[in-house]
Amino acid sequence: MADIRCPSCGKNNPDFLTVCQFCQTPLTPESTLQIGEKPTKKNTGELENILPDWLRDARQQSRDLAEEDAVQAASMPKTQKEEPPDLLAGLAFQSTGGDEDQIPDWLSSINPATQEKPSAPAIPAAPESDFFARFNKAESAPKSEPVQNDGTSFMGQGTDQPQDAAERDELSEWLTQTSEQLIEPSSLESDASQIESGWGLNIEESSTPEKESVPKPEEDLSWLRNLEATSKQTGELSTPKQDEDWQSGFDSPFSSPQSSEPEDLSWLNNLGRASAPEQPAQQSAQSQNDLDWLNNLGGTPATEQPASRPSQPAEDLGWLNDLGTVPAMEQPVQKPTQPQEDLSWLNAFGETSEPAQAASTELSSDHLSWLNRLGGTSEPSQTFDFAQDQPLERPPGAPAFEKASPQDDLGWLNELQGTSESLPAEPVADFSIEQDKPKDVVESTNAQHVSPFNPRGTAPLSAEEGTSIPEWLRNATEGPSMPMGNNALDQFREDFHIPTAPEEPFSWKSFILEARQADEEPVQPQSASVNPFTPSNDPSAISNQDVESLFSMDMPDWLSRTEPVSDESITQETAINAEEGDALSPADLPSWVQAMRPVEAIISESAPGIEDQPTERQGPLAGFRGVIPAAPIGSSRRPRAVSLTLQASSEQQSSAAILEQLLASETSPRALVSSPSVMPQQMLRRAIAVLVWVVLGIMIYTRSQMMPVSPLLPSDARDVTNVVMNISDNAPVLVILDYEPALAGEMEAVSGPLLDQLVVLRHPHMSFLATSPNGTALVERLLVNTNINQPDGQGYIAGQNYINMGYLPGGESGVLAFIEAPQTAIPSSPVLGFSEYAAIILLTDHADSARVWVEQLHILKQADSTLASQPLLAVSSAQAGPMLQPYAASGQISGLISGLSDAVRYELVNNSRPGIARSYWDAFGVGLMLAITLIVLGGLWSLFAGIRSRRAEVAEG
Amino acid sequence: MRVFAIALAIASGLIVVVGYFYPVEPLLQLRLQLTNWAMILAGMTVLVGIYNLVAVHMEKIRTRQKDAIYGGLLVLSLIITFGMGLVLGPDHTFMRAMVDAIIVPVEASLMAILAVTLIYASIRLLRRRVDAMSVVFLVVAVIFLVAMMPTPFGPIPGDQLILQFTGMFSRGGARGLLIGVALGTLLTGLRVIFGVDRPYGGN
Repeated sequence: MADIRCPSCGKNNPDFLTVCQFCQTPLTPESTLQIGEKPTKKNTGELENILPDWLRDARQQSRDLAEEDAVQAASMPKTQKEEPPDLLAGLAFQSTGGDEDQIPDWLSSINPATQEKPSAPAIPAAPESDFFARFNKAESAPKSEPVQNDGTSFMGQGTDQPQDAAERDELSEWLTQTSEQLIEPSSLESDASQIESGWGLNIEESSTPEKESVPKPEEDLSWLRNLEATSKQTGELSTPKQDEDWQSGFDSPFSSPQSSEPEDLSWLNNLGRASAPEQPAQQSAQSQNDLDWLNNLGGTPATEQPASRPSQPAEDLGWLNDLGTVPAMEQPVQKPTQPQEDLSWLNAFGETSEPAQAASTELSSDHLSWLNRLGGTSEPSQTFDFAQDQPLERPPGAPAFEKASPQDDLGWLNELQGTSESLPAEPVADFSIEQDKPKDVVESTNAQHVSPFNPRGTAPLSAEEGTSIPEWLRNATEGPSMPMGNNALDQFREDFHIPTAPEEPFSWKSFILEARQADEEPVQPQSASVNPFTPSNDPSAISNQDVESLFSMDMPDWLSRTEPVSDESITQETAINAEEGDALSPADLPSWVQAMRPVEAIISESAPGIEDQPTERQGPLAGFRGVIPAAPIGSSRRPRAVSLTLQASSEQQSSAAILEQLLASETSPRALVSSPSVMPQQMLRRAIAVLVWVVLGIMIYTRSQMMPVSPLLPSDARDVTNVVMNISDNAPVLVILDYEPALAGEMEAVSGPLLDQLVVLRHPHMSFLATSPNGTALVERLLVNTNINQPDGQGYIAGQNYINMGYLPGGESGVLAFIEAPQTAIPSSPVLGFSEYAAIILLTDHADSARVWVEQLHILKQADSTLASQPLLAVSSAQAGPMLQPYAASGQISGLISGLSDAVRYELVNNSRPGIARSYWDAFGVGLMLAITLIVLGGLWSLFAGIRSRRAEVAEG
Repeated sequence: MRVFAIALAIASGLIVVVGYFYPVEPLLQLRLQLTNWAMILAGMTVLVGIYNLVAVHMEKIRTRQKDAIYGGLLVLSLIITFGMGLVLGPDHTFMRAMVDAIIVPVEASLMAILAVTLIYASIRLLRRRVDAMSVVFLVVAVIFLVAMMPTPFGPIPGDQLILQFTGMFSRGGARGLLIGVALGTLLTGLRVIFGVDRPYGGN
């Protein structure tokens, strides 16, 4: 056998298969139905031999049960059922009128969806055959022959009208093929198959792509078969009460007039055309054969030709038998006219309600399942006519139910409502079947309680309003006209609890529970005694069950929300988690961690909840709770008051008292205590003065020369001698007196040897210039003390050998002016230019004035080359000597005699003349020794005295 | 007026400075003239100072303040000396006697007091403040005095070495001081030239 490789999944499939057995992808190009193409007829009976044994057994059992049910239903007296006018009024009007303008909006919105998805209401042939077999049984058992002879049904019209001969031939061939397979079963199955074929034709005519769904029912049949088996085990199918209801349901259709038979024949011809090519050629064209193919659809012939039929189509028969019981009773209220329209919008229902019915089954099977249900409930009237058209027996007085009012046509919906209670076992059994629906889905459905089947808030139906649109449909489709009340708004809250069963007339949860009970318990005869066709006295009971489940897909999310789990369950879960250790258990915080907890945490813990807050009664916030804190603002979170009283110990208080006393003593005036050391200091100073005076006086008075003089001259002093030696005789020499009278004694003693040497050796013309106001008077003193102008000395005469030019004012400017123009600065200057002076002797006791002369002369020497060789000799006091040594070292000063020590040596070299320095030398020496002694002894005494006083202060505290 | 004073001061400074660096004849003559004006102004400042001294002490006499008599004596001596100097001249014997008998002994006495004060301060130094610098100061002073001190036994051994050592420090310190003084003088002159400092007034 050649294998066909699936283009989608790539797996091999037998060549006789047109659809992949793994992914359901069409294997052959011709099996793929394109838009606008007419579906081809295919024979699925060949797949019957593929079915496993258990499926065949189940199918056989379902067929047997269907036969028994049909027989019992036929034996039951037919009772006229009261129509449920309100529920089906709108549907009947749609089916009969055909005027789409009068179609309600909610239906018109649904119909396009049906047209867009023509393949959705795929109708498997096999399951429906079994479904119609039950009808066929129920009707043909007592009156099989009249039905066959009566050709007033739409099937009969289909056969009577020869204009569709070709279609009729195809149909006859296809029916012949099936009839051969269904030769063994009774004619009831054929009727049922005929009914089913009519149902299928109706759909096929409404939308041609529905033929494409023929191979798909293979998957649907399995679970249906199991459902059938389960229902059989529960004994539901064997209960005679339901059959009685079925019988009552069958009675009414026969009394209804037939009004739309021609239309039924047309879609029946289409059905025959679709299935004819698949039929074997040996099949006859008789009507009896048509019934056979219906039997073949019903799956009953599977026992005879197991190899020629697909196995799965027969699986649907079981539950269809259950459903078939209900629609069979509802046939009188349905209107067979224009079945195509009815089926079209029902297909729309099927599409929308499909996921709610069988969530676990596959897509194709879902379509089939709901269509089977709907088909089983809505099309029995048509099938019944089809059965009449066939040679099957029909009651002669059976009126064509095409005459039934539009409300009758929609009676099957009432039947649905009515059977929701009588057939609770079906969905439960459906859920219990593991092979078709996973358990998790069932569990989730049961656990959530609220599913898409959860009823919309429909109002109870009223018997008065049933003309155009039933009340329940209007309420289901229309939105709320009034604003949502508080209860409705509460539904949006997260903690909203959906009202439980007592508030609702029906809920899926209760339905499931009831279904479980019905599944667990055997079906009670009393439950079967409830006539589903009997209109219920409570309108809400009619409207809030299956009808709502049909439109449950339109429910908003908040309505289909899962009922909140009770607190007990939450606590149980928490406890379980805690036991399992998955949840975090409160830790035992150490004390220090608890102490570190923020205060806000404690406050938040102690803060009251919203529930504890009062509800506002006045103002715009009336009705709100917890908007304004109940407690006074800030009072609950106000930090604990801390006492401002200082908790001080006695020691701290004593310390504070001491500090206070110290501060008070700082502010209080304190009497000045005269220093006791004033007198000793004055005495010391006076003692020092007296000591110095006495010692020096003695030395001066005694003219002591006991102190030896070193003959070694300093280098600077030797330079002075060299300069003096280089001065020409009678050369003008400028002597600058730049010292104060206070130092006249020292300066005269220091400068005496130089001037004496100069006068003695060179006899220069000396010009004295004072830069100090008292200098002019000191010139004569100097000359007197040095014996220069003394007659017993050098005999210099003022104005002749020397000149006192007076005081040179202006400081540096005067010095500069005198250097640049001596006569300009000092008109009494004997020279015109400064360069005429052979030497400049600066007698200074002040370093700054000496610096001015040094600097100005040095600048002038750089500018005037004639001044470059002009020597500058400096005679300074001991205190100014160190400041002039740098100039002497740099050569700006030609020679320097500094202090008495240099002068006494220079005097010694100069033959100890004038002798002033030497006369001061012993006194100078004694005075230094006294000073050193006083400083050392006084310093040591002060040091120890200070230490003693500090120790005494420390001892005193 | 203020601007004129500033301009005059700056111009005088610039002329003298430029005359130092560029000894051209006009600048030298101009610099010499400015220097002479400065000498005259300086001599006049002595007279102004004498006038201020007489005015202050006359105010004390007029107001009969405490020790006003000393002020009167000062003013009287000033007038006599100034008058005699103008009449007799500075080289008169009376004038020399006044200087030799009054000015020189007074100032010399002040210097003697200074010597006693310095000794006393050196004695009290360690009493007031006992720290390293005080000790060092005293030790250095004593060493220098010892080195310069003539002794009946002749100069102490190593006196010249000590003098050279101490002279090294003294010369070094003196050079540092002179350099600092020169820089300060230069900076002061520049500030006056650029008008930053206005010792002549005008804020």
